[in-house]
Amino acid sequence: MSSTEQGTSSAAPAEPTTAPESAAAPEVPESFYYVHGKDKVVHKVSAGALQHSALIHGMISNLGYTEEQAKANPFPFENIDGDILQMVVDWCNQHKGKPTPPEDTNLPKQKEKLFDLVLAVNYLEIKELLTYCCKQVAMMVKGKSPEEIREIWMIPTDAEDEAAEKEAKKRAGKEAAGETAAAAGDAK
Amino acid sequence: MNETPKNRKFGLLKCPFPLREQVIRNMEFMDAFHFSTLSKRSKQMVRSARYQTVCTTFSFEEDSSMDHIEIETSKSERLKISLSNLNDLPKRNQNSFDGLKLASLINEPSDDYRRKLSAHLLFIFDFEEVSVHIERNIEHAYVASTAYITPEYLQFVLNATKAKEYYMDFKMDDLNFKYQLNDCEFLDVSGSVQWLDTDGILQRNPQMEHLHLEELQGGQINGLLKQWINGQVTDLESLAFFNWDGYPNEVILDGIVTMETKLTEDQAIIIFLYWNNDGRTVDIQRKIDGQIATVHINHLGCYVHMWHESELSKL
Repeated sequence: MSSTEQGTSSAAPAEPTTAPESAAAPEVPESFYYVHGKDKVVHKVSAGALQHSALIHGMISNLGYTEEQAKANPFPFENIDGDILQMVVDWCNQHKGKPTPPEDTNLPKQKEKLFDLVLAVNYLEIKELLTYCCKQVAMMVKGKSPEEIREIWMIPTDAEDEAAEKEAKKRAGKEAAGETAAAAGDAK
Repeated sequence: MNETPKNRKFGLLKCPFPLREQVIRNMEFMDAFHFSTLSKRSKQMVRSARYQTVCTTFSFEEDSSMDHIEIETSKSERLKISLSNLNDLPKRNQNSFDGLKLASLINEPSDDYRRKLSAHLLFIFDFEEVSVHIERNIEHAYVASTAYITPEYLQFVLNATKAKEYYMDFKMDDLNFKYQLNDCEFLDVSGSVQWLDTDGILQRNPQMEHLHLEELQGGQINGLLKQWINGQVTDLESLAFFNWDGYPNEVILDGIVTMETKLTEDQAIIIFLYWNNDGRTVDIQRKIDGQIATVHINHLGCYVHMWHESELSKL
């Protein structure tokens, strides 16, 4: 995955690249923030691009970080794989300040990647991207038969659901019994 | 990139609830239907997702082989599900989905596939509007053939369509079930009304604003007026009963305390669309709060207007 025009990816906080966005530079210099995923690779993202994420936008609002402070305090998203975070950052940069088109053809086609992307986007609260992702997940089963849908989305049958429920109850019962025994032991 | 068996799969149930629901809302209508047939859990998931559709119409045509459900989805798709009779398979419209086939996917016991399918659709999808369109004469309902809609099926459709407003216009001689309407705000019944249980109807429908019935018996109208007089405060604004043979005053007003109306003729003409100066006009009063209603009976029917304080002050 290539880095975006505003940012670079590296194991350490990246030096800002200064590629101008347009000939007419904004009067107020744009602020940048840094994020990293499970792989600790830091991505530099403009505040404008991060506005897509309600979660991050809420975090950076009123922070008033200087460039140095922002670089020294990258936002950690340990629950998101590095390559997935890169995809999200790329998407945010590509759609910065632009109206989002009704379809997005740049999303990953591999189901495993899409699954991780959906969870990440849901966590980061990126509404438009989440809509695209959900559409893409829905399209996985377009025109499929019920049994094909079951296989693709791994939907258990009623019998499997019931067996799993019984198993969960059994396990919960055992755990509760274990806790009671431990509490009785403590009391002695 | 070629898909391997592993990356063909997507563990939807591992996603948080709101995410699953958003995925379901983005599915095509028939895909969502197919998904709902996979298990009790998937059925409940589609219901919880509140998959929006614009309207559904249950159509019972003159030729029963043309019976169908028509669905307009929020994605502007129009789908037709054939409800044709089992014996009419060759007549099935090639462009419509086969209701029998769809019903066979639903894991519920039922000896009536149309009933099973309709109940499933009404359970899982969030229809903004549900209507029933009946073209054929239901007086043949007792003909020993499954080609005709049965009274039970009609009753089921009525029970399943929890609408606020009903416009019913069909002839159903020999249909002898009594349907208890609930939580309705506007009811307009023409053709046949004998299926409607009017006992306690105002109590069961406290938000009823307008009730327009054709060919209701005079005694039943008397009962409805007594329900209003002796009942609780409701939203009722008007009652209209049409009978082309006219209603006898003495039956409608039997046992009811009436008062001379305060309405002038000019006011009555404005209030009652079918006012006639040959008719009889009286006021009645509700016991619990003293609300006044004016009853006008003429050769075309009986009309009742419930007065509200704001209106009275203008008179």
